[in-house]
This record gives sequence, C-alpha cells and structure tokens, in this order.
Amino acid sequence: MKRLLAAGLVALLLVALAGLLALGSRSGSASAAQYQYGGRPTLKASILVVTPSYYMIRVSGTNYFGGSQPGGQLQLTCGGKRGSSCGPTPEPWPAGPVDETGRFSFDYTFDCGSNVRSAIAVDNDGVRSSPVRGAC
Amino acid sequence: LLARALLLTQSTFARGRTNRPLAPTRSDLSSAGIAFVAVAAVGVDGGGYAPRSWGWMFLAFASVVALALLFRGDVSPRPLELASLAGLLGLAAWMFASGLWSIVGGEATREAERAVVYLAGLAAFIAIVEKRSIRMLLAGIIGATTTLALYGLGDRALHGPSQNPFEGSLLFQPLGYANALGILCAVGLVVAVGLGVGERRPYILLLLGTSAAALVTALVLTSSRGAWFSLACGLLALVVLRTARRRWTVVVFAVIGIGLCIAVLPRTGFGDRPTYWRVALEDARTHVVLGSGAGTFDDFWNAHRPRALSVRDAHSLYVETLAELGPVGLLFLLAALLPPLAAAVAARSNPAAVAAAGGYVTFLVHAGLDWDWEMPATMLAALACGAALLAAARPLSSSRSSERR
Repeated sequence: MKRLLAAGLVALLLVALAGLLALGSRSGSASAAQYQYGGRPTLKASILVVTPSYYMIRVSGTNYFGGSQPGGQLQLTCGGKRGSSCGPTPEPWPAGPVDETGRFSFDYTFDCGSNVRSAIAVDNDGVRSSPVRGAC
Repeated sequence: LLARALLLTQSTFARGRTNRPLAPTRSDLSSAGIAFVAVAAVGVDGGGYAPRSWGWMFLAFASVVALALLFRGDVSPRPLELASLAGLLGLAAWMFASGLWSIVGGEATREAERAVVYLAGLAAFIAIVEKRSIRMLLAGIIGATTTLALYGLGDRALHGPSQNPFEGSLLFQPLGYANALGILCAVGLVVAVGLGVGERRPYILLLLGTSAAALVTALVLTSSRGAWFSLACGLLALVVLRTARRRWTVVVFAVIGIGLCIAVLPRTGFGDRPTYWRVALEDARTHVVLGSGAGTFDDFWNAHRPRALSVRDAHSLYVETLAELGPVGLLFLLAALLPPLAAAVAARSNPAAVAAAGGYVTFLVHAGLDWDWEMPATMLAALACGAALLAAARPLSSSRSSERR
C-alpha cells in the first residue's frame, strides 16, 4: 500500500515537472518585463460598416503580452425597458495569436437583430472595451 | 554518464571538510535535487512569473511533502521553521481576505495563490533537507543558478543580443527580466564564495570557480545595479558571520558603508524606484489600517502616478506589502522572512550555514529594491537558502534520524 501510494506521488511529481518543462519550452511567450512595464491589456471596439442587415465591428487589443489573446464575446445592451431582450447574441470569438508588440485585431460581423442599443467587447479574462453604438 | 557525474559531484560536496563517507546519502541527493530542480525548472519557465505555472509548482511541492511524510519518521517542524511557515500561511490568508476590502476586485485571489506556492515550496525544502545535508542543498542552488546563467549566455551566443522593447540588449533570458537573472546570479555567487572560503580540495575549488565565472559573466551582462549592491551586502554578511573577533567593528563599518551607498545612489542608481516608493507610501497612508488589497498597487499607481509610466509593482517587497496589506500584512511577511536570520545567528559556527546566510541576505536586500516576490524562481532560491539556515539551527540531538542510504 505504501509503495503504491509512493508510486502515485512520484507519478504526480513527474507529471508536475513535465507540465512545468512543457510550459517552459513554449516559445513566443512574452517576458515578465513586458507584463511589468507594458501596461494593462486594453480592448477597443469600433463600427466599420452598418447595413440594414448586419454590423461589421473591428475589435482590437493592445498590451496582450501573453503570446495570445484569450478569446471573448461581444455583449449587447438592449434598448427599451430594463430587462427587455434583444439579439441575436453574437458568436464568441476564439482565442488567437497576437503580434510581437502584443496587438491583435479582427473584424467581426453579426446580424443586426432587433432592439440592440450598444455592444461592448469583453475578453475571457474580463477586459472590456468602451461601448459602441449604431443602429441598423 | 550524467548520473555518474552527478553522483561524483554530490559525493565530493557532501563530504565537506569532515570525515563523512564518500557515497552521498539519500538526504544529500534529495536536498541537492529539490533545490536544483525547483530553481532551474521554474527559472526556465520564464521564472514562474505567469500564473499558468503555479498549479504545476504547487503540485510538485505538495508531492514532495507527501513523499517526505510517507518515508521520513520525523518531519515535524522546529519552532523557527513553524514560525516561518505560519508567517507564509498567515500572509496567504491575509492576501485572500484582502479581496473583501480591496479597492479593485479579482487580484487578491491570484496573489494568495502565489503565496500558497511559496508556502508549499518552503514546506518541501524543510521536509527534505537534513542538518548534515545543507551543503548539498546549497550545491543544488549553485548548480541551478549556474544553469540559468549558462542558458542566458548560450542564448546570447546563439542568437546575439536581442532588442527587447523593455529589456534592450541586456541578458534577461530565460527569466524574462534582467534584474531577476542578476539577483539569481548574485545569490549563487555569494553561496559559491561562502562554500569556497576555507575549501582546500582543488576539484571543489575548480567546480566553484567555474560556476562563479559563469555567474559573474551573466551578472555583468544583466547590468543589474541592484544585484551588484545586494551581492556586496551578501558578501559583507559572509564576512560579518565568519569574523570571530571584532564582529561589531565590522558591522559598524558595514552599516556606514551601506548608508553612504544609499545616500549616493538615489540620484544615479535607483531609476524610477523612488517615484514608485513615494506612490506606494501614499497608498499606505491612504489605506493605513488594512491596506488597499493584494495586487492593487498598479491600480493606485495608475490613479496617482506623477508621470505616465506603466508599472505593476512598487519595486520593493516591503513597501508594497505595507501599501497593499497594511501593517498586519507586513508583520506576516516579516514573520515568514526573519526566522532564517535568527537561525543564521544561532548556526554561525557552521561554514555552510554562513554561506546560506550570505545568499539569504543578498535576496533580502534585493527584495527591497525590485519585484522579486513576483518572480518565483528567485523566491524559491531564497526560500531554499532560508530552509538551509533553519535546518542548520536544529539541535544535533533532535536532528532527524531517518537519514538512509
């Protein structure tokens, strides 16, 4: 029993060390100094195109020094009374790469839907943009 | 071949200047191994700065503690060890609780997680190291710091100086921050000098000299003024602890020398640090009882900074702790960090303990000048030195008796 327990603990130890080494072998991650002095990640959303049927919004981020952006979603604020519904809810954007200066940018197209007052971009780490407004 | 080389190195270090047997004990191997693997593996992983590494680190240390509990008869900590562990536990709990009154939510939990990793690391070092194997623990620290220095130098040799937007052409890999690599080199150097003083065996001197050459070369290329200053303080601690007579004369001269350095340095050597410290002290005055909450210095800085500089930490462990966690947090920190110093005084007749004390003082000085707390590789090297001191202060009669071949 003791040997079994010891074998399990050694296996856990090896898994933990392998995990650490695997993280250490990943290239392209930002350095600690970049996190320390590079400022906070910021998100910006801006409307590129508004048609009667869809929006095109550009989402851009700066100071993402983790080697990638974590993905996120556009969150809608509905018009009318509090608690009213609007939609359709845009699809989340997936995690993806950033350039060597910690920036990323992509264009995001979604249906106009109804009763939408504004939208903000929120990444999966909780970084939020300012709201953008524009009626179809 | 690697295993044989390791065993040979282990056995030569393990013998010290006593008549101990040539073959290393299990305690020797595990002490050297845990110090080397902890500092080197975490160091290669960007110093362990990113939270993604902390879970793996905790798992590794927890496994080591569990293995020690399983195989050692007596792992109950002595009073100084208990005080240090309790200080870290209290600090982690206080950090977590500070989320309740933090000026910004979300950071306190993450800060507490890192403190828990340090608690697990110190517990693992204390559980593993024996009084008679502290030389091996220190050999592991020298090996790890030399490995990281050689990694950085090798990277520089292969790829040339990088032009990092934040670090310029300084030597900063694999830790990602030149000053962090600098302080690790300084700690390794002081420990190597401490072990080398009085050593007469040429092969040991050759090993230590080779390590020292790599560490000095890397330290020069980091251009870390704080690391050089801390190195001088660490070497001074070695001199003070090794001086049997006129110790107080040396201490007085040392204090005067350090005071002169501090009086001269602010204009030239501290960079933007005095500005960070002023804002952190303003933070402490604004949140005088409980602090502003763990991990909030950057928020206070962004709201009150006199210049448009981006920075996350106050570049002083002690000032930042006072600002974020108040006097209670600072007391917990001191409770965690001071017991090894008390142990150093008690064990100063042991040359290996003096070497560990030099490394530990080197870290304590630098922690007042930079964000070493946020860089786990540096913290683990310091905690390993601290654990060596705590082990050295154990009474011989109660030294753990479970050392086995």
